[in-house]
Amino acid sequence: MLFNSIEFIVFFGVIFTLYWIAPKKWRWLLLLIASYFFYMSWEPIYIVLILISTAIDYFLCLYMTGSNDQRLRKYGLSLSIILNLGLLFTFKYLGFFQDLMQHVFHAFGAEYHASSLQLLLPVGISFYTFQTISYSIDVYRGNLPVERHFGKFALFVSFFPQLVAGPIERAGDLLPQVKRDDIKLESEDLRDGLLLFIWGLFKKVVVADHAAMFVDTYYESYSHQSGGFLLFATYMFALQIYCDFSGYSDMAIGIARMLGIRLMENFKTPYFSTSMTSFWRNWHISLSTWLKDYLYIPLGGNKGGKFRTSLNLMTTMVLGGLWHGANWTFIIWGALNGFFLSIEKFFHRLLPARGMFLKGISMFIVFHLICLGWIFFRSQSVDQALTIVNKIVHLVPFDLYFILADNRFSGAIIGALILIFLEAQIPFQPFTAFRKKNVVYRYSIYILLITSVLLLGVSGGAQFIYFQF
Amino acid sequence: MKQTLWKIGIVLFLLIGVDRGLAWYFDKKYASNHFHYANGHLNYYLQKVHCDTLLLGSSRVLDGLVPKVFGPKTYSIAEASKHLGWCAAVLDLMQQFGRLPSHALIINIEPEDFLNESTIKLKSDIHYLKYYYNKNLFIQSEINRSSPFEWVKYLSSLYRHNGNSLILLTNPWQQIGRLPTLNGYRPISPTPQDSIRTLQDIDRAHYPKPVLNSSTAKHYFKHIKSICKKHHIELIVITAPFYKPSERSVECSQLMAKYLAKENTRYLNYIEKDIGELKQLRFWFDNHHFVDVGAQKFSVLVKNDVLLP
Repeated sequence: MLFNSIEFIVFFGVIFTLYWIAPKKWRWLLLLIASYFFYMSWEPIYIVLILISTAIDYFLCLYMTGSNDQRLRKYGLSLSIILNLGLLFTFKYLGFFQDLMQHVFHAFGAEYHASSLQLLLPVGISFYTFQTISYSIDVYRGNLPVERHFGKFALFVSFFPQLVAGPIERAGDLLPQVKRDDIKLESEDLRDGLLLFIWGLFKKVVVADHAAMFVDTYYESYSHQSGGFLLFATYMFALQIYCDFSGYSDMAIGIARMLGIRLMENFKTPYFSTSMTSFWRNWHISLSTWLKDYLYIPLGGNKGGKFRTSLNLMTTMVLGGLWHGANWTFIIWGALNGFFLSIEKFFHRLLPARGMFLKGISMFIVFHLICLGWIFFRSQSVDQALTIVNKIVHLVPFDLYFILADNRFSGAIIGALILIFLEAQIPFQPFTAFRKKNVVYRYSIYILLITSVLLLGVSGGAQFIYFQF
Repeated sequence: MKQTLWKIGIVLFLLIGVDRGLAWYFDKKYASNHFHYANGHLNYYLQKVHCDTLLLGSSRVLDGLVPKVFGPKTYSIAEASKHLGWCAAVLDLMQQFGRLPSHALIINIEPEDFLNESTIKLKSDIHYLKYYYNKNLFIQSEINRSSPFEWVKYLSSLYRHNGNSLILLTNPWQQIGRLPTLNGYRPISPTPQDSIRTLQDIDRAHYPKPVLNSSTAKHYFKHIKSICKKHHIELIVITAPFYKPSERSVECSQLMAKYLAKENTRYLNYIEKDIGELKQLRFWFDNHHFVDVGAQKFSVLVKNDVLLP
């Protein structure tokens, strides 16, 4: 059940109504049942994985809290991390590592026969695994009291708006909210939540899905395409992935908001960044901050000189790349971003950012460095990515009219123009600036967004990119 | 809260107004659209054409069969990447508009449409005809089969133009697909890259043995057959050739031949038939499509076969 499907809208309509008329003390149970139903609409059997993950962290954290022995507490935390990552490894990385082993053995003239275990990747496993790991670490560090109510803890793990593609919430933020019995339906939450949902839907079905059709065509037949087309397709992919993922996040935040629960912001106009550091502070914020708090800082962060900092950055970004998927393309994508960040840290500021003109140049350079990474991210193999980079570097003239006449391209561009106009005009979160606009302007925006979804939206209910992670 | 609900009500009210107003505007645009895209050729046919023979199918008909070779009153309604479901719905529309061919229907069916894994493609094709949702019961029921809540989308009048609106606005500026002067045929001019493309396009993969068990495809085929039977139209099914057919295409076409024999339907399988000089690379745009000169020759071949007793 996708957020951009009519089934979800009906499902949410029912849940929203039941939630606000149900007795306050049972609302958590309604949300838990709704969350499990939502998840089971993909592959019912994988609900078992969520239950296992929930049980592991619930009981190990209770155990850690009950013990005064630091060594036993450490064992508890280690066991929680190993079990959670073990599940993730089995379902996400096993095939990749088996292939890798086969290559390594083959290189040494030996034979390695991997079992042909074909496991379907459970939707959202990387997201809820990281969420539960952060809970265990926070409880271990003493930053968070342990949750003793199994049902409410289960709801924290499986809360449906953010279950399959984030934002990756911290227990300290989400748990107290799902435990509250006194949430009231505030008009501000309803209005802002609804607007965020429509805004996210617009980004997904009008911009991202149109761009996807264009990108798929050119990336799938990359060997026949000229560098010019592939460059345009890469720009379109940058647009697609932003609108696809931030659109999902906006919808998730909007849905939670209508239920009186606030989720963290996940994107802050990242393509307007004038440095790589700033880009990563504004892109997939919930993952970036997770990696910073639970990996980069424990590795030593920036406290060991420039070389040590660069090494920590590279490690963090490569593992961040691997988190996205079991493929060398993601590892290279992570490594490239780690490399750019290291260079920037090394020279303190790689790009000048004073004055409009220099800021514009910085923005242009950062955007193109990010796009270089996107080529690897989108490609099916390293070979494909290198061929595309090579073709783009050796640009040949191409027929611009042919691109402009492509309705998939024009659909995405019209959507993108509306998007840029609105993002530049209205910082949607927080909504204070938008609320200050006059009523005609605000109502026009609502109607423009809904009309665009009806007229221009790709209506097949296309999958979100981040569901595969 | 009361105030917010009022405001949502006002936005909804305004939205309904905009929805109806824009739908009216796009309805006008649609009715006057005779360009190839956004069902322009179908629209033109439903408004203006009475033909004796109709050619129906995907791009392999659009680029591969020349209606005028069959006679001046032969017309082609074909769209790229369309399958059996789309053809069944188009024929149902023609029946409703009283525009069925008076003599024969030559329909190109890809045998792979009958594989179970093709069902999603077959069903999704119907959505290209969503403009007719409230006008044609067959299309409505097929669209409603895709989801129990699909009808909710059509509460908006504008939704029937979803996916076509940009094309309706930009069609007049486009140079391709202007008025269907060639009775619906779209010739492909040869280019130096054709032979490379054709050779690269050959499917050499090995597939497991096919089973043609798609009940959806059979349902659509039977619908087409029943319309033809009801209106005494001769139904001839063809499968256009490939430069080099894949192993799977050959196996599927043999299975489809058996199925169509059971259904007492005439079938010209050009995957298996000898296509003579058309085997030459120069007649092909890619492994699936002819260039203009190839299409002319193939049309003569089909015409001669159709005329055979």
